[in-house]
Amino acid sequence: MRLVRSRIAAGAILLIAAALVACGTATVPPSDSAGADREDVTAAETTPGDDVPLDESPGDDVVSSDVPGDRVVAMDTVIVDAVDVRSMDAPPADTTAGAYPPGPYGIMEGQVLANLDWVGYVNTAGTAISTTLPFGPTSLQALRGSGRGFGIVHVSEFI
Amino acid sequence: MVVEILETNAFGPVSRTDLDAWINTFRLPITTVMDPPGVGLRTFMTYGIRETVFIVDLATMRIVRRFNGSVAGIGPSAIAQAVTEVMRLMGG
Repeated sequence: MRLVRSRIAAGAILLIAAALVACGTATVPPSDSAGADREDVTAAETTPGDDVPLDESPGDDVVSSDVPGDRVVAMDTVIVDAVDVRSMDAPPADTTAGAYPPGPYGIMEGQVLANLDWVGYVNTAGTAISTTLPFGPTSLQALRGSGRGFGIVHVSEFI
Repeated sequence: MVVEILETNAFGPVSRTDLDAWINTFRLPITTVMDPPGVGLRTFMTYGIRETVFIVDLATMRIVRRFNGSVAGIGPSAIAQAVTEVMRLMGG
């Protein structure tokens, strides 16, 4: 495969070199406001395709492969830098817990804590005093989030 | 998840004023809630008396550990005990 690529590359280089030589020495100033010293466009190449013979078919200028068509050719190993897969597009992770577990409910270790709804301040970031946040309804189910890890539920009294 | 539930005010229902005072007095930066109007002392009747902490497995909502602090305010609080336990459960 490397030998084939080398032949193709060499053929392409020869073609480019031949095109440059065949087009003569006459030059015209570039039309893209580049410097006057950049007169790299020859008069014969002012129109795209001028350097392509009219009777040439696509692929005619490509050196034919020396590998028979019925052979399986091994691909070159391509080494790429390790990428952070977290930066690639991926399906969003499931961030919600399932339905609240069924009862019976209780308050002893091993039992399922009942799902109650309340009103108050939901503060998951923990970076501000809670009264600075919106006041509204919530529930134990809503506060479960993704359902991963542990939660602390503290009951207190205002005296 | 950390939830602070102000369940009673001297064994009576809690108002929003009570809740705000509770939060501002202790400058709480956690989710703090109360029973909605019209349900009486529902949390107190369901979860029990104050100074109780439940550590729950959020996947199953089962109570992993329960701590009762002193209602007289003597000794370690329930939340202090719970935080240590949660850190242990999380491998800390």
